[in-house]
Amino acid sequence: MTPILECRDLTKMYGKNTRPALNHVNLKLNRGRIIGLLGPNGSGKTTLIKLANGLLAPTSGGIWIDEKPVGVETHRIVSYLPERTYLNMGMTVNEAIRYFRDFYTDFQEERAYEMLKNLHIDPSARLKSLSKGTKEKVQLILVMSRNAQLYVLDEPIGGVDPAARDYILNTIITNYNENATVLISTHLIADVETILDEVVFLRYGEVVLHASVDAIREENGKSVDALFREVFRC
Amino acid sequence: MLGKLLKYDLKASYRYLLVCYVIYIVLTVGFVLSVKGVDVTAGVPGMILAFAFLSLTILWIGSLIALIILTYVLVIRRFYVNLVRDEGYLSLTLPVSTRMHMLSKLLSGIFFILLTGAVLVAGFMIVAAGLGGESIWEQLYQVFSDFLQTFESFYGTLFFVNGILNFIRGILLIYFSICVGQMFTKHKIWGAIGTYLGLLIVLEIFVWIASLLFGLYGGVNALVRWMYSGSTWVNTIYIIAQILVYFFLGAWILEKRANLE
Repeated sequence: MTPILECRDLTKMYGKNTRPALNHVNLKLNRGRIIGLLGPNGSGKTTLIKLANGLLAPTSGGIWIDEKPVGVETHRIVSYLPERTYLNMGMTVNEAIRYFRDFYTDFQEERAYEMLKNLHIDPSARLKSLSKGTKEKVQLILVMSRNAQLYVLDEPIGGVDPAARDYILNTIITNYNENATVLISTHLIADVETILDEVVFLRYGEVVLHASVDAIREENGKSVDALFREVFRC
Repeated sequence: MLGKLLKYDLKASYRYLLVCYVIYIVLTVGFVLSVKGVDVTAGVPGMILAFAFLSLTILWIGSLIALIILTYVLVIRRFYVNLVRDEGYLSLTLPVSTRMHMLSKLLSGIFFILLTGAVLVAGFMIVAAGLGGESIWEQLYQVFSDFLQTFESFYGTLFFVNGILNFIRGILLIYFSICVGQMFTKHKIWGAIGTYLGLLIVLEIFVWIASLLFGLYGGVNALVRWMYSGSTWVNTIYIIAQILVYFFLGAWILEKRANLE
């Protein structure tokens, strides 16, 4: 089976005399997996995610989604949640749903409305009137209401209350098809650990570990959270 | 996809402009009424009307200038916020080519600027109708007829076509400068302003050198006509070349050199 995401010697530098944000990264992510992209601040997680979505250009090397270079074709199959608010704040939630329906053929409107109802979000509310956490929930609902092949979620639970986290994580598990891959970048490892199949540890722009969660537990006798604290101890 | 992009681009800005159009038209009517009511020989009430006339004149002229500035600000802001700021995280990850984004922004920008132009003309018509009496319509008809007559000559038509192309070039030059500016690691807005001013200067120097070289062979008249008369084929080609470069290179930058840090 072809990998859903592949980095070949991927390097990204933000300036000529700066340390690379990503340094010759080689990585293959397979289909049907929930993968944690983990690392301390400045390790290159968000840079990798932006490169996968064409929001940054690599300095050298490349990144392929479903064996295609990042572009319009890959945008069709990637559902991306950035770590910031990216919707037009003048829109209502209903309008944001129509926007996604207009542009993504794999968007499932009913699923979005069902999730909004479960999270008690008023679809007629204007986005700028919502709290930061609720805006994040709306964005996650929009992203998870697509039938994508790759979901790329940058800090999906960072801004929401602990009570909503369980619902969101449950949403992530239940709202993607078996062949789809979910790539989650987060600092809240303990919260997401239970849903992860694999983890990728990044440090100073380099992959220091790519292993299945089961293998980590078997070989190290530790949880991912414990291993992370050990590997990245200050 | 272009239709959908256009729909959202128009929806994003129309509310602000609609409010401004209404304010402008109300001030125009107020200005006309105040002019008609001014009678400085009628004592204190006349003075009050004169004061109202002065205030409304200032407000009317202010609203006219503000409307032009605001339209351009909204057109530029829409491109900037929707493609290279936070909303760009969504726009640039839609399954839509960057050429479509550029085209949609260009068409919506042209639409809003022309709409503002039409509203301004409507305001002038109100003033003309209110202050000019019956003969004003005949005079306006004459002006319009004269305008149409320019199309009877080839150079008149070309002058008009070049004017429209120049207008499109102006918008695309701003968009292109924003595309280049976003590639800067820091000070992206200054990068865009620098690109815009830099390009204007470089292009002026180019025109000056080209005109000089042209002038050596074609005389001073050819030199002047080549760039500044606005009614030559060379001018048309020169503008179209710029339009194509700004459009396609700008779209390419957004696609291959996006830098949403």
